[in-house]
Amino acid sequence: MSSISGPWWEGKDKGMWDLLGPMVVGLAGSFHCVGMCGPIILAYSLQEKAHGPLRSLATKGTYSHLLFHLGRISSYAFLGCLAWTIGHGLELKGFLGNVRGWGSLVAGLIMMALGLLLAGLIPSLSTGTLGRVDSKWSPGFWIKRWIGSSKPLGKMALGVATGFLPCMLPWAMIVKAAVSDSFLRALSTMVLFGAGTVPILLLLGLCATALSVKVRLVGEKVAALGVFAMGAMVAYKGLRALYKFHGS
Amino acid sequence: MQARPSEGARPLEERRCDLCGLPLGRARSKSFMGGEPKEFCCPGCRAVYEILVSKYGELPRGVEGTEIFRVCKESGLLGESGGEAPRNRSDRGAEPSFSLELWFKISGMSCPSCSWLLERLLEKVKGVKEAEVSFGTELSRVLYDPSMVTPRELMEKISSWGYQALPVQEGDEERADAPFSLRRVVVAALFTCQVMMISWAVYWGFLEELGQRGVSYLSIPIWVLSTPVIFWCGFPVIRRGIAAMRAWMPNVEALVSLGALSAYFYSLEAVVRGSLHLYFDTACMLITTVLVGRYVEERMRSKLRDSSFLEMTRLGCLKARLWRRGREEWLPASHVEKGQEIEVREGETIPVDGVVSRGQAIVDNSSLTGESRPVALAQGSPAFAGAIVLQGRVFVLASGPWSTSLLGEMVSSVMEAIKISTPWDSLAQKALRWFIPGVMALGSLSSLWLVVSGQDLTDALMRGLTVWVVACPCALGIAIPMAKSAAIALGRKRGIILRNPEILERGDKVDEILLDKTGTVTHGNFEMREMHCPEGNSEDVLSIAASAEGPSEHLIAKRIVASALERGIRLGEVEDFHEEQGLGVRGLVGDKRVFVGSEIWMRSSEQRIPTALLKRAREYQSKGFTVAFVAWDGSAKGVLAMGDALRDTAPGLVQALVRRGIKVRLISGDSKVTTSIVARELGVEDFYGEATPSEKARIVEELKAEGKTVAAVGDGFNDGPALALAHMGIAVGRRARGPGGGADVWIPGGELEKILEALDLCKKARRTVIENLVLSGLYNSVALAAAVGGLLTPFVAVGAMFLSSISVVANSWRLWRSPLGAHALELGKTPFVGPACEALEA
Repeated sequence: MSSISGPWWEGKDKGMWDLLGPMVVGLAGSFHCVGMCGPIILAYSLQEKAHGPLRSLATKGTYSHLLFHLGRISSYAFLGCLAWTIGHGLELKGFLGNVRGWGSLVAGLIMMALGLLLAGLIPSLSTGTLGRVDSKWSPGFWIKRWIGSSKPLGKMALGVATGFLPCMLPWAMIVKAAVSDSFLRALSTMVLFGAGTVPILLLLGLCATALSVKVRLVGEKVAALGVFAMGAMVAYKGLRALYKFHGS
Repeated sequence: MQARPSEGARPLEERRCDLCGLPLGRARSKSFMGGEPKEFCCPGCRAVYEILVSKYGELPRGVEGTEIFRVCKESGLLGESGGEAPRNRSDRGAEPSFSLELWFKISGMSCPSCSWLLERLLEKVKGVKEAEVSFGTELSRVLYDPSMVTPRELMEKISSWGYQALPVQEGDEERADAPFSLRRVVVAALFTCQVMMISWAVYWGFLEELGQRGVSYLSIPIWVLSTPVIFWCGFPVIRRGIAAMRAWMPNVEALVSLGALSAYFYSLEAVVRGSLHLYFDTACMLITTVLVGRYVEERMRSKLRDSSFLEMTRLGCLKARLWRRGREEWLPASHVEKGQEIEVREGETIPVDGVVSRGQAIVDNSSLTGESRPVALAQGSPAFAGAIVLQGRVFVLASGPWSTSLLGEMVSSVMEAIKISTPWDSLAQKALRWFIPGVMALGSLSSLWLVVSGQDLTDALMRGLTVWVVACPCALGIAIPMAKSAAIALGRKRGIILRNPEILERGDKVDEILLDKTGTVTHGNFEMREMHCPEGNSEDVLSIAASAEGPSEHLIAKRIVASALERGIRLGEVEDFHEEQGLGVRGLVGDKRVFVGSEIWMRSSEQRIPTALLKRAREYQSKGFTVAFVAWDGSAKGVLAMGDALRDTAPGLVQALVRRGIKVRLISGDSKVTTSIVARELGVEDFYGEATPSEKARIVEELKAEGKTVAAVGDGFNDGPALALAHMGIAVGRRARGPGGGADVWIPGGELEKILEALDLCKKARRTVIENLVLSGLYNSVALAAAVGGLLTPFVAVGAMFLSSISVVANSWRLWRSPLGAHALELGKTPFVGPACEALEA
């Protein structure tokens, strides 16, 4: 990992935290993911024919699981990069003046709000099309279509659709990605976050007994806290940059 | 959807998300889809719930018995709603309709992962419902829908994946176009030599005089020579590799194909470019090594399999010669009916069990007993399937088709035994299934690491490839099955049928052995020695006793009946017959209610035994006879004394067992006195007389509860439960066919020394398994370390891998060839002396 050059709130956001942060959030948050994605994984796992005494669903479906997660991480990556492009584009056009300034501030505030939402401390808003199941524009429609598929490509497509489901956790990461310095940084944020969610979901079948409500609640709270903290850092960075910008 | 003020009576803290089970917070969301309102912890959970409900009608329950479902439910993952019976989803397809079962043989599998691969591939075929492929027996069972796929199509598919599917009966003849035939191997080897020669010369710059240009022209012949190696000789390898990749289960062939093909095309491009960085030799070596390795492996394995089992398949195809209306006809042995007369000439094999009706011959019974002592047959002698006529000619009156013959039953026992998977097997298989992906991940990681740290791409790929090659644990996979098959085959060769291969693990540790008396340590041929009937006529008493004992299968009963018949006494009918196992019989003969049996039976049936009679009975017993009282009208009218001769090998057996540190006990349903006499003759200290079958079982249980490993030896007749309960149950003699089914080992010939052989077999088998595991495990770990560290090149890895699996096969072969038969001498039996047929009679 590259070393930190200069105070982290100034200039480029290099450093371990930027890489580790999303991953840790992913890991902790995967306990929450288990609750949401778990039933979907269960649903498509049941498609696999249980083969005999030696094969439990956990091992037989390993390739399916990997494809599903690949699809999911792909859509996260796509969304993150899209967000970054939009943000970067806006910056270039000068709308936001200085991404590092207002952009970061706004993004940080949004992330903090998402963190609070995750923790269940503030009420949520409607998720619009994303939450519906009948419209072609909603991920739910496609999930329904592909959840029964037995082809490997179908599993991957299912993962892609699942990545679009409305969920605070990846959204927080997308916002973070939007205000990242570079395309690569945005991409790595999303990919690392996604990768962090994979271990627990993969081992769903094996360690689901360990995933009691308490454990999952703790994980979710930790993730919410992580998101809130990252949001705070991002907002602070924005403030500093604004301050410097205006002040210098 | 805005959160509404809660309507229900329950406070917020207690309510849970209906999808994920977490407590609700402020971010909760509600849904009215599917009837009742449901609450969720976040809009995401709500969205998922709505998706699933609108797809399945409710949360999918699927098969409630699946592990993942149960575990999810237990951990609250599926929320608290639901739990209804599973619904049939319309997209699951039609109800399982008419389906047929097809059995065939698949050859060319090199390790259990091949069988898993084939199962997977077969199940993906449209119309196949279920597929089971067994590596050990090469048999495969497929359940299919005949309207969607035909057997021929299935077999063609299997060929297209690189294996051979044959009908079960066919032999294993090596066909020239078999995937790993000698022709391919030789061609590959020769061409590869050429390629290596030229490549080496070019590489080391021997031909510098030709100039740079000249040398570069040499790459053309190298390319030309290596092309057929890769694409013709290597075709089966590539085909298997593709099949494996399609099922996402990479095997050696897949990895080698990948390596060889990429080396080939990379080098081709280099030739076009004019560069001299050629890797044709690597590609050829990879293919050749795989071909050679597989060929040798397959030959060794089929030799092991065929020499032990081919005779069985050969025997299964025996034909019988019938004379019908003056014409000679041939029938398969399986179609022979009881009562048909079969002619067997010199050099032929008797196809079914029966009795000799005409003619004389000398036969070799080695297929049954493992010993080739010549046996003489004459009119009235029993004839056995599998016996080879050495001299003479006989006509055999068949007692049934092949499947009812002794040999037929032995063969099917062995086939069944191979299919049984022991705890070893499942352990090994479990380990393997995690091993392969684990090592593959390791390979990918090490490749990645090399790339990331800036090494040459080719190097990185080679490193990863090498680790992947080492990942194919063929040796580890066959370590246990090979040893098991060899052990079963070896036992079979010696006339010991291992019904339950699990005892191979336990047989070595036997502490206690329970020997049944009648039929086991004694011949079981009771002779009526004496009879005493104080009142009345002994003939009448015998006649009444024999009539009463008519339906019983007990050795004593049969002997009583036989004695009566010998004396020309006519037997009457018995009604209301009842037999109490190990005690006696009762029935209505004429107008008398008759009881025949042991002293305990008399007592429990309330028949008084006059003192004088009892005294005489005791005298008989002190001579070692078994006594049976005959009683009616409330008192015993006579006593029959039956003598049973001890087998001459029995005392030696006991001594040998004691020498091995095994405690011997004698157990019998016979009277305590008789049992004690026999025990004394044998040199056994502990004995149990008057034991019913359930008591015998109880004694086994007691010993087991003390933590001892218990073996029980009996004839399976009235010690069935004891044999089944013991850690190692040994059934001795022909009578053990049916009820002896609970025994782990069956010695049809009844020779006592084979008990020692069986114990030795277990010890040797266990040792072979450990040796095999060490051989393969050591290889795998060392090679893995070397591969990750970059010390191996791909083809050295491939070669070493085959070397290890060949050594496992060779070691198992060694087990099969090991001699077990030294014990006859140990027991004082001299070879080639002693009635051979007697052991086979019952």
